[in-house]
Amino acid sequence: MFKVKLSKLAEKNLRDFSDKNKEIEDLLISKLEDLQNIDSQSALKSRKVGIVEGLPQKALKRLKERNFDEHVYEYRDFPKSKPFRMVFIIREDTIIVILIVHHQQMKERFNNLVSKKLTSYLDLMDENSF
Amino acid sequence: MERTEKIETSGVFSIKEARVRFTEINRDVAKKGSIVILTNRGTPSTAIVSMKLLRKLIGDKAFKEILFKQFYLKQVEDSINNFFDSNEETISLDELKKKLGR
Repeated sequence: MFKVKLSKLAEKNLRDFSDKNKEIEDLLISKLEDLQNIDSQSALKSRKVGIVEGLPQKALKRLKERNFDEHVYEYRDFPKSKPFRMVFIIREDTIIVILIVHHQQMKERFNNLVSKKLTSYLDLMDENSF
Repeated sequence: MERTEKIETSGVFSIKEARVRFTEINRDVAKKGSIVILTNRGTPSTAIVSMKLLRKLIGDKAFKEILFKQFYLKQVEDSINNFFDSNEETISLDELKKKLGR
């Protein structure tokens, strides 16, 4: 059984998403409780959990230096109507959720950046140092 | 994220009508992307190309998809840095539930 903790950012994410919305709060808390009992190997096979691919080596190296598991994981077991993702890292028997995102909201933010503020995708890359 | 696009590469690569499967933007190589080129002989090889060329090769829709993935990865990377920069400050699930009055 894992101990589940949240970073300050993930706690803020949870509060922002569930602000005045008990249904979302219930959902996010129940998924955090699920994480306590997760079997990472079978969850990986069932696609409830995935490894975040494509992160820069620098970030992964930082995890390793602090004795975390070498991967960053996503918990994706959410209903289609509420497509959240919880990003977490693992050290020994502790799961630390470091980010909670809502896929649709993230997509909207991205589209706004592309269509309103910026004239081209290349400008977007300049601004975000892609 | 992976998809296959049929493209014309005359003048860019030595193969014509190659099939290009993009992988992802390599952020360690600023403003460049890596693509996997599958030739008719079936031998894949990787090329690093400029973002302008990558966009031309895979089209706006697919290009926007990889940018979106990078946008997400940047948030994940920032959250890792944020966690370590705040001295790994955390709250346990039980403490959080108490704070939320559950």
